[in-house]
Amino acid sequence: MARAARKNTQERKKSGQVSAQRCPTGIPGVDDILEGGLPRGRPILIAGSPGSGKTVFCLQTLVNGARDMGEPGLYLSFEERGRELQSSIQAFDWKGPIEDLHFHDAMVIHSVESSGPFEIAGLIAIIEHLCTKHGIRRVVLDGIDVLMGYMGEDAAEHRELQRLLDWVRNSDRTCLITAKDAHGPGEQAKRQELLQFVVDCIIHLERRIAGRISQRTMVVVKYRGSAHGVNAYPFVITSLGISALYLPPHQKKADPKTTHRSSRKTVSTGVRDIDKMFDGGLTRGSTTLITGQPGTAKTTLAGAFVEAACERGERTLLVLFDEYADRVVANLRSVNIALDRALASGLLRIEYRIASASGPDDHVAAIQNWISEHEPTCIAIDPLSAINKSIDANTAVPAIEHLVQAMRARDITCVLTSLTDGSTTEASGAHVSTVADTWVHLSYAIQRGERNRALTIIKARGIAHSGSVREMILSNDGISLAAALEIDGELLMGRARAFHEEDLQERAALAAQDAERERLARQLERQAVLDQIDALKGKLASLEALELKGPDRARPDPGDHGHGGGEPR
Amino acid sequence: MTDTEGNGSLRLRLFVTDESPGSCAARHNLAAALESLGLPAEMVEEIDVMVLPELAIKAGILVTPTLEIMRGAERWLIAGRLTVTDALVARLS
Repeated sequence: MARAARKNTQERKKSGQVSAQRCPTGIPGVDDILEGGLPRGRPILIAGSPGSGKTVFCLQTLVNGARDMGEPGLYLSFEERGRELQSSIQAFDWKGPIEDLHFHDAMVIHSVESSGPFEIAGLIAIIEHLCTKHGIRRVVLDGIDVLMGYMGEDAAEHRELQRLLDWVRNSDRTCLITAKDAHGPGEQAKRQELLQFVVDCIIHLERRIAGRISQRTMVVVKYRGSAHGVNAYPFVITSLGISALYLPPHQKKADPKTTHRSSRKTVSTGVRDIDKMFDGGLTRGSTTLITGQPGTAKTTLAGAFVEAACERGERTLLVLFDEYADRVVANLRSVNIALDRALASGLLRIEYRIASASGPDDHVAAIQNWISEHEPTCIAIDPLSAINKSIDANTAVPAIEHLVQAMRARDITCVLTSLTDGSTTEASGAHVSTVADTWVHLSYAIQRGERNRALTIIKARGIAHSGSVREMILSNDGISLAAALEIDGELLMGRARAFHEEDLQERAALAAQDAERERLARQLERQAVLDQIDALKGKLASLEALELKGPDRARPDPGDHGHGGGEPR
Repeated sequence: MTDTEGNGSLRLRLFVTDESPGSCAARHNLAAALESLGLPAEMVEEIDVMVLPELAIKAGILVTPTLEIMRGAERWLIAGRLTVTDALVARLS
């Protein structure tokens, strides 16, 4: 994800989207929220409660500036020692040499005795000296409220703060100042109010606990003279540092329903019968949701999709929640879905997450990171509904929507499975159905003591698709669908369908026998008629022959003494 | 600057910023404290941080005025205009 952020920044610079007045943080998502970056050469307040991520935000901005943008940084902290901060940097997976990053330990302030008001002109002189010496472009003053707390007098505090900010503006260096949140009346609140008034930009970070899960959000409270995102945006802190879950409008893609059918590019589901139901397959770049109760073969369908993608030579990511990869791979083998070769070739990457260990934002950030690293064109997440295992479903919705949008922006074809319980048979547990382009529902049908799987397409935007319920059959040969068989309003599946088909075959055989019998009878009858006709024809011929002899022949010949004629006695 | 020889010798450095009001006040208050102790004002080494920031960095100075008191291995930093004279005198004596 960090690589993507760097790429975004570089692309923005090339396209001129980053104006000279912007100082990109390089933090994924943050520069999009800030519409390019922080105000360059201006004082910026990073406010928030303890543990909300202020220090990480500042460190990351300095590291990115020094490493990727040729802007050396100076970090001056009144709350942590320089070596502790350097250890913090080591703890993050920030790749590449980080030079031109300088730390000045300001913790000494805590061991200084106070004897009346002081000035920070000396501090400014020291910072200016360090900046000139190292060519510093970005400065962080972490915990400025701590220093101000030693001032003792409001007027002095105000005056010295103004002096510091004047220096920032005149020095043309971007300066991030952190301060803790202040609640209620008091010195800290006054200080906070003053800081908020004099700085050019305020970013407020917040951390709260929902259930057992920590959730973080950031708000750009103020940005003088510039447009910026105005909402509370979720962000996470991972081994890569901060990532804001934000996708700017220009990166959001229209869903495939707006795509003309003739130009639709399809992707196989891995099951030929299902592809037929979708008029050739899923639309490339679309999001498909597969819902169903446990055991309805959601994972199997996801596996078939993954296998087919890898067979086409596409880089593919399979994300599993609460299920180990080797077990899933072994199970899929039993239905003739082999992922071993794809894994060995590196086309397929399988990742595993414990659903209850993190919140939705963290899960989504991890998936986005894997996407950045592996750059897949196809993804399956099984089951996505696990993402809200440790939190109420509604809280997970924005994170899931963000993930879907992010995948769509990269034109990734994805299959998401979602576990449903018996009470909500066709409701998608993760509430993905509204953002998904295609929705396949798997269910059970119990007939004659047998449980069978049924597959229905509930939604397929912009695709001619079958609306019939099909029986899904898993065998050693793979997955197939049986035609729907409806008898008296009841769909027959499994053995019931087999019995019915046998019955139909028997009836057909009997009917054929009856037909043959009737045919033979008709043939005999016809022959008899033909024989009669022949006999009559013979008789007729005789009569006609007699007729031809005429009356003379009919009169008795004088010499004829036959019994038929002759002389009268 | 006066640097008394041997262990327990007192060394004073006052870090200031030019002729700022705070620096002037600290200079004045320190001189008064030294006088009350019968110590010469000349023993104070004055360092303008604007001119010699490297020295301030080396000494761990952040704000001005700051008085650095060194007695043998011991060292104290007192920041501000040195208006709390009792505490200052206690440190210097």
